[in-house]
Amino acid sequence: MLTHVLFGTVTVYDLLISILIIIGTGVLSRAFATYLRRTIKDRVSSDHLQIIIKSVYYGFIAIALMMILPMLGFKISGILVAGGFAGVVIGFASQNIVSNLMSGVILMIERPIKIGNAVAVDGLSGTVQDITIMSTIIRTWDGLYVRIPNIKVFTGTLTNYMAHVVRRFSYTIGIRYQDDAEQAIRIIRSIIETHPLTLVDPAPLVYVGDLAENAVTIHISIWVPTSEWFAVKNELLWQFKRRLEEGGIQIPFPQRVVWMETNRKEPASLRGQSGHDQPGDAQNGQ
Amino acid sequence: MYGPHSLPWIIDQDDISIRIERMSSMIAYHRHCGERTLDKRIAGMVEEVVVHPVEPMLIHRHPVQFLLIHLASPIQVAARTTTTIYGTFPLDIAVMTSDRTSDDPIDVFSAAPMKLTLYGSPDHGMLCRYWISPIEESPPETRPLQEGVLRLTLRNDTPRWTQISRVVLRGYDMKLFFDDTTVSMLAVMRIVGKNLAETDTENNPLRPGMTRSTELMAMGIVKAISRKFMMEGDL
Repeated sequence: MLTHVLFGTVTVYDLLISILIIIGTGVLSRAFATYLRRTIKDRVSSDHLQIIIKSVYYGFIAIALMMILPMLGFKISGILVAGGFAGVVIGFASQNIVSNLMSGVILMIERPIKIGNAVAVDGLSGTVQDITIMSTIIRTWDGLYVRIPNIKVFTGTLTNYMAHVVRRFSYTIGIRYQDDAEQAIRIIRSIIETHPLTLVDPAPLVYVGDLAENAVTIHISIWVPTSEWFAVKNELLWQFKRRLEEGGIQIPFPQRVVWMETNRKEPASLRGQSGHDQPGDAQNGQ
Repeated sequence: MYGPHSLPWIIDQDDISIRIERMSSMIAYHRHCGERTLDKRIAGMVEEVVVHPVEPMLIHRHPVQFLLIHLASPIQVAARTTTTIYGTFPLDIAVMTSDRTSDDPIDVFSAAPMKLTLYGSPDHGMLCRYWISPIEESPPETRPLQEGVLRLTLRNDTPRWTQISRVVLRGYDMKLFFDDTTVSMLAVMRIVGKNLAETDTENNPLRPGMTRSTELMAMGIVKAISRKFMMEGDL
């Protein structure tokens, strides 16, 4: 019965196996689609999820057809040769498209960036507006619409400013040599400690970082919530300047003491001192 | 201050001043607390407002989901023992319409000092509201517009002594109770391993007769999904 030839060399057995493969492929592809939907639905948008699921579904169908057609007497070697040649031609022609497509799929699964994130890609900074299958849309800080092919996002250096919940920013503030650096540090610390959005832990760093040409340089590093860093950074800088000046501490201008030829007989009290010892004198007009 | 109030309502207590007055077709809301002021107009039929102490989960409109209470002095808990200590926690204050027809309160503010901290590493840590609490054997004196009484049950299930210097509580489902003089919250910290503890809050008042506060997080002002929290960093 099973070996009964229906047409050509196709037997009942071949036909039954083909039907079983069709049914099995249908069940398997649906099960895999359900699995995919459950596992990646939170990672990609619904539009992209549909594209991925359909691609997988039709991939299963294509494999099933390649298994069934020889059983039903069709020679697929000719189709495969023709398809292979066409594939090479189409592959060369659509190399960039496929690269962008695959990059887009990987970006959607890996998700190094999300819509709304502040990012820097390929020298461009802005907010991610959309991640499509072929490109990533960014709105720059100036409000410009920029479409970046996904291959550039995938292969280039990508910085996601919002990947972590907190980030650090730093300042360098110079004070005069005659000012009390410890008092300046106390003032700066009190401003940081009273600001509600600066973090207690990781603790802020405030220290004398350099004895520079024109100033004693105080280095400040502060951790804040990533979403608030720009506003806090701008707010604190002005507070530092205002409060330091209220405390009698000044941020000096670049200055240099120049001894004129007519002043060669300089006072004994200044003789032998380095240029760093008198920066305030020049500023004070002495 | 806490409880229902018929309009118009004006109060000036400690560092907080609230004025809610009827205009011809709207209601004028004015609040001043510390250096922060809010002026608002409310369109709608409002006969009464309710003021409740709520979870301290907003910092300058920046919502956080965790409260980290730093104990002023660390406490060493013996192996396989349970002990109860008292401390304080910060409060936010919510002004809401009494009929609760809106999920959004009219105003949420805090008279308590606000500070943020991170529990964990910068890449995987959680932002928390930061508070330093004393450790007492009995309920401490508090300023009920700024802070409440925390009763913390420490249960050490491990076979070794454990030192505790901080407690992280999830804001969701935090049960606050209040009366005329005190706001309270009961919490449990179960130490289950080295640098591993589970924290939770209880749905009970500090003493009978206290009124339960509205839960802002349950109203959806701040989204969260779970009540318990597993402390996996430093204890």
